[in-house]
Amino acid sequence: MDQINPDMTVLEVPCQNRQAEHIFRKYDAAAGVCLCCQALFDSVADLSRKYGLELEKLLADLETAAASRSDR
Amino acid sequence: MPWNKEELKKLYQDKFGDQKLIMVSNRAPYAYSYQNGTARITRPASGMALSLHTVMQAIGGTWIASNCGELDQWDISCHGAVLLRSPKYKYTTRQIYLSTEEAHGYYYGFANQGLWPLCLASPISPQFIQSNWYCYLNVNRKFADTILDEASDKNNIIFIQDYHLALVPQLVKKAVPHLTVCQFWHIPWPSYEVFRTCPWGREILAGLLGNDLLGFHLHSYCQNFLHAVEQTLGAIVDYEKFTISYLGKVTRVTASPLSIDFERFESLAKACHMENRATELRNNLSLQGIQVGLGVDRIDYTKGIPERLEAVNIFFQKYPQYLERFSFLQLGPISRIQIPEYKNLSNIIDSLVETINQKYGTIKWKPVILFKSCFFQEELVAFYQLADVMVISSLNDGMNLVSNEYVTSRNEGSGALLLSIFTGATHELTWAYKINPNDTEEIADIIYLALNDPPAEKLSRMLAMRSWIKEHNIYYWAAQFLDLL
Repeated sequence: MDQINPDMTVLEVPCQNRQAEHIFRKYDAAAGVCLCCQALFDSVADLSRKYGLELEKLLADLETAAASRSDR
Repeated sequence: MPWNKEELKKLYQDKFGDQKLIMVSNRAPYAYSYQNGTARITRPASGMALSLHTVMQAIGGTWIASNCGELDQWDISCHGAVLLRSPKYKYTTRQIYLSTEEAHGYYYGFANQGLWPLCLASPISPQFIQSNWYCYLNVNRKFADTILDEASDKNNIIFIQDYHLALVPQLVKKAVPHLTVCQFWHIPWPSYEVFRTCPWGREILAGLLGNDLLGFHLHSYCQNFLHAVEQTLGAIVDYEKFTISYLGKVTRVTASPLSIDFERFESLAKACHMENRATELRNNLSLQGIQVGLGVDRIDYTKGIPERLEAVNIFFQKYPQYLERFSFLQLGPISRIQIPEYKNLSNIIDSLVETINQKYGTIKWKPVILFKSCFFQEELVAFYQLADVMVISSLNDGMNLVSNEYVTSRNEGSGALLLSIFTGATHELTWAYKINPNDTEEIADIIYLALNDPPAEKLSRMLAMRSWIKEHNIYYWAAQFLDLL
């Protein structure tokens, strides 16, 4: 499985890990919008810039979700 | 005067100047193979692709399409990305190589086992498989990258076709916002209640909202789409203007029923060899003195072919005077055979034809004649000219251009068109004999009625339809659509 990187779009991240959608949902409140409705075609880096989210933390959360998925 | 090639070209030039038109579809209008280094056509195009080919012949530009497993990587790399450029064609074709696995997941998988049955509200349940979705996403990206490579330095017009490429508009627009992107969705758009069953509905809708203009055949499909984006994405919808505001960008939606090249079909029908070809067919198929019914469809579970054959069975039961006086010809290629439902359907059709032929046939006469093959336009016109009645019994169909082709090929105005109330064409060709494909006894009765109606009644219906199609031809369709950009 490829690593999730900041250039991937929100649309592509769940291709690596379907659980990623739940991670994006966790950030909806902080962003003030539904990220999976408003930012599907943005890269993860653009998304964090646009909505003031901490990129490192977001990537780490997505990676953790991906790792827990692949451990199963 | 109806729209023609020159007027369409002029409209395009006046409106867009030297901006190139880039047509994008899953497949090129024809399938090619290489013989001695030269590309040769191996498969005729569908009605839809032929109509778009006519538009490209008028305007010129580049057509981007996938090989979809038909040309191998060697062919494409050897002959370059631009595959076909000849004086006969006014545009160039650029092929995208897809591996068999990609074609399987994207085309046979997500597009044709997922979106196709979903949008056609088919009795076959859509299958939404994650790996197919990822494949669909990756292939859409491949298309978007090719478009960007072809077009990004200029403000070209990108015209995307159909349900195979729903994500491409947003992928392109996101990368180069100044490109003009439009799309035509050639199949129905289902109600929101049906559409919401798609696990990636949100992604599909967000992808399509990358378009500046999005076309459907019917007003009702537009309304279903507007409702879906409003409910799913919370986009702002103006139901009066048919516009959607999403992520600071406006997408306009329009209903614009596709048509055919009337002039081409009419001139083919009038060609002096056509009458000979029709006579030759009649002789070869032992149809002398026999009235003919015709069905022309790709073998697909949405086309209502078993229902049509059942209606023919009932017709012979109820009207035995037509035994040895009427035959039904069913033409059309087997398609998407990698999908089990299509293979099963093909077997069902074989079995129905065999049953009817065993029940009523004689040594000299076959009640039903089945050809499971592709036909070029010229051959189809000869079949259309043989047909006293044409039966289109689709259970659901975006438009159905066979109806237009049949009417246009009957240049003397004889014949009768039986048209399912579930086709897009039924909203245009209101003079056809309407049928409900689920009522097979009614179809049988209407075949009888159409064969026995006074010639003047049939002539008046056919002339009205010819006149409509002549006016609302493919050039009219393209002009109306592109003029909205």
